[in-house]
Amino acid sequence: MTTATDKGMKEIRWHGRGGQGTVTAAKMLASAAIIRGKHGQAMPEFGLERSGTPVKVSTRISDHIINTRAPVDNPEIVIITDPSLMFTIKDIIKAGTDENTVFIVNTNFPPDKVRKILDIPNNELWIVDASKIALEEFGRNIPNTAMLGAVAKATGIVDLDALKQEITEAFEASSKLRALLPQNLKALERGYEEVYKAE
Amino acid sequence: MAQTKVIALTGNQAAAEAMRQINFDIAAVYPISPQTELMGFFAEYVANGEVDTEMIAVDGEHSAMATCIGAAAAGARTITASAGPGIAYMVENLYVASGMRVPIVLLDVNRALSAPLSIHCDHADSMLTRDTSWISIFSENAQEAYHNIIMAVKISEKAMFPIIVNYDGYIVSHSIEDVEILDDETVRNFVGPSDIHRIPYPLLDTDKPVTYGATAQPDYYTECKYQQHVDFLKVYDIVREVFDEFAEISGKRYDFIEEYKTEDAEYIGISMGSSFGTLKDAVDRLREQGRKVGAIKIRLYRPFPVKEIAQALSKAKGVVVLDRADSFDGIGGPLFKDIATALLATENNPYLHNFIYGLGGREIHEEEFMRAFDRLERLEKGIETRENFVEYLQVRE
Repeated sequence: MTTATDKGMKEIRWHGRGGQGTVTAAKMLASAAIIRGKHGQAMPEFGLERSGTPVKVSTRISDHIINTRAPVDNPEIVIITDPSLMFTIKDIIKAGTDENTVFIVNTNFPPDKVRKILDIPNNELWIVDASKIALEEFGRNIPNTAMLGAVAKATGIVDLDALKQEITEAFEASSKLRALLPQNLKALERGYEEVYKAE
Repeated sequence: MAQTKVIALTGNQAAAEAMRQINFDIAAVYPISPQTELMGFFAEYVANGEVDTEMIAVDGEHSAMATCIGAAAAGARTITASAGPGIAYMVENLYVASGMRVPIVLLDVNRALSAPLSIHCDHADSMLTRDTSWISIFSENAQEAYHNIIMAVKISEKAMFPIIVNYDGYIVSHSIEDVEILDDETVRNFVGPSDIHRIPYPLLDTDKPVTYGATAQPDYYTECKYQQHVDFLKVYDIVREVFDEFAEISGKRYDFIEEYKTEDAEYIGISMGSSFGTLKDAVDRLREQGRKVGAIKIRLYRPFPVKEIAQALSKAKGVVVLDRADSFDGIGGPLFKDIATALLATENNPYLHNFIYGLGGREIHEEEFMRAFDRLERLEKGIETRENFVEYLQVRE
C-alpha cells in the first residue's frame, strides 16, 4: 500500500528461509541507504525463528520520513533468496504484486522457467545464482551478500560502495564474521556483476 | 547543541546505546523476548568495559525489581527491562518502588500476555502498570525510545517516582531505522553525575540514617498515599521542564501528546506507540479524499495528560480511540476510558467510539485505521448504530 504522502518511497519485500541471512540482508539494504542520508526501514515478519522456515521481510527506502509500520503489501520490488519458495509459497510471494513489480530471484533456472513457475510473463525479472556464488566464495549457502550486489545492480536504489561500507562495518563488529569479510565483499561484487535482466 | 550522527539501529540497539551513554550504576536483568536482545547488546558493553555498570543477573523479574528498589534506595542510578509476562511478574514490586519513592528506569518492550502464549506486541503488559504510580511514556519508534530513555533518568530523579519507557516489541525493538544519536558527553552532562546526594534520602548516606519500606498502620497509611497522590500531580511540570531542557540539547521538542492535522479536524483518532505513524498515513489518505480528520498520539501516559487531551478534542465531532489492549469489562479498552474521562474537562461532547487492534502482534494497515474513521463518522451521523462502545477492528469471525 503506497503511502499517500510519499510517492517516491521504494517498497521492497524479501522472501527467504531462516538461516540464509535474509533478515540481515534486508537490514543491510536499509542501513546502506541510511549511510547515503536517506530514510530506511527494515521490518522482519516475526514468526517462529527456526532455520529453514520461510521468512518475509519488508524494506522501505525514502527521501522522506517513513511513518508507516505496516508490512509492505504492494511491493515494487520482490526479492527471492531461496528458489524453492517459488514452488511452496508462490501465492504469498505474488500477493500484492502486479505487472509492474520487479522480481529479483536467486536461482540457477533459466528465465523462462522462472517466468512460468511464478506466472510473471511480462514483469521485469533479474536472475542471479547467488547460492552458487556463496558456495564458491565461502562454502556455505548463505546467499545474502551476493543478493545485495544483485539488488544494487538491478534497482539502483543503493550504490555498491554504500553496501561495501555497511557489510564491512557489520562483519568487522562481529568476532564470528570478521574472518569472512573478504569473501563476502567478493560475493557482493560478483552478485552485482553476474545478475542479469531476463528477456 | 550536541554533536549528532544518524545511524541505522533497531529499537533494542537504540535503547542499549542510550543505556551505554547514561552509564547506569546498576542494571538488573532477567531475559524475556523481545527484551532479551536488548540486554544482550548491553551485556557486551559491560563485558568490554565500555560502561561502569554492575550487571546483576537475577532469578526472575520480581527479583529484578527488588534489586532495583534496593539499589535505587541506596542511591545508585538503576535500570531494568522486561516485557509481557515479565512485567506481570514484577507488578507487586512496582507498587513498592513507587511507594518508597525511588527513581528507577524500567524499559517495557511491549508484549502480549498469555494465554494463548504470544511473544508479540500489544500493550496489555503496560496496562498492568497504569495504576502503580509509575510515570509512563510511550515511544513511537527507535528514535523516540532512545530520546525517552535519556529524558526518563532525569524525570524520574527530579520527581522521585520510578518511570517506564515503553516501545513496541519486534515492531520497534527488532526493526531497523535511521536514528539520530547524541554524543556521549552531551548525554552524560544532561543526566548529570550519579552521586548519591542527587536524591534526597540515599540509604548509603550513613550520617543520616533513614528507614525505607516501613509498615504503616491505619492511622498513617492514608497520609502516605495522599502525599504520593499530591506529588504525582507535580510530575506534569517536571516532565515539561525536562522536555524543555532536552529540546535545548537535541533540537527535538516533545510534548505530552502529539497532534497531527487536528487543527480543523472533525474526527480524530487516538493511539499510542508504533501504530501512530500508520495512523498518520491513514489521516493523509482520508485528507486526500477531502475528509476533515486528524490524529493524536499519547506520549505521556501516566500521569495522563487530561488538560492537553481536553483542549485537543475541544472542537471535535467524533473521536475514535484505538486500544492495543482489551479490558474485558463491558466498557472499553484502557485508553478509551482515560480519554472518556479526560473529556469531562471540556464543554465539548464529541461522539466517542473504541476499537481494539493489533493484539499479539497483529499487523495494522492504514486501510484498517481508515475503516475505523469511516465507522466513527457513520455512527456519529446516525447512519449506523452500535451495541457497545468497543469493537474489534481486525478480526476473522
